[in-house]
Amino acid sequence: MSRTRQSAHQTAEARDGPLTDAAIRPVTRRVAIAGGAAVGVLAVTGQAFAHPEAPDWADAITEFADGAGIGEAGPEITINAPDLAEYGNSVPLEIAAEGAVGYLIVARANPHAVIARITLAPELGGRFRTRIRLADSQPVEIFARLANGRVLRAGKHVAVTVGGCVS
Amino acid sequence: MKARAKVPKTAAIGEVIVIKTLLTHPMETGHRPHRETGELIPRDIVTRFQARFNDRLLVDVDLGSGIAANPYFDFDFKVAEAGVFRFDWTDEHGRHVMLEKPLALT
Repeated sequence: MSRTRQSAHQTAEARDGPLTDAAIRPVTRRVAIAGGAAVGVLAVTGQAFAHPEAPDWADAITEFADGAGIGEAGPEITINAPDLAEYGNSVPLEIAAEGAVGYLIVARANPHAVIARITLAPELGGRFRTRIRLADSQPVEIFARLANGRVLRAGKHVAVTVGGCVS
Repeated sequence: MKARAKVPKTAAIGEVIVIKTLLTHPMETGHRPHRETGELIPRDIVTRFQARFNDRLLVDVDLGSGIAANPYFDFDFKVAEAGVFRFDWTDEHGRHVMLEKPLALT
């Protein structure tokens, strides 16, 4: 490992000149991959996670809809989340759909896409707030079950500068 | 697993109050490598949260690893009677924390 690091540094130095920040970054990644320790570096950059298992969101959506057709929501669902989150490890998310009795929160670019299933008593009014992890920039999808049985879908794109170590 | 809930001590009938809850918990995803050893830190997440008022279920959450560390929830509640809120958190190892908060009428 140390020998690999040494030679990679030399290679980079020879090609790119003195080791500036910009020069170090790609080198570090190559060295780590060569050394078989890619996981650590990828976690730092927060990108390129391999999905450890088959997508779980499709089943979760089917189960949540429970036979009802899923309609695209208009103004029925309000999603409050930042357009840009500097860090993906704690992104505030507020959902409000008048009279909602259930929500499903899905972020497909996360290693585990199903963030939460929420059941609400009808008298609560449907507003719910939490903080979520986002591995990468992506639309956060909200499925809402209303008291009348309708199931609606809405989404809000959140750009993430540094992905949360979600996985 | 330190639990906190912020609930007004008193409220009037018909008033809508905000209930805020927080559990101190790392919500380890199981995919995060240890800073020094590089080995993956074992997954350790809270999987269930429930809020009740006078034994009536208000909120029931199945949490995934996409809920941020120190799981935080808040929601509205319309007051109809005095009583006791009860909050329960359970993690995947079966550890459980319960917290109760009384609500009196003004």
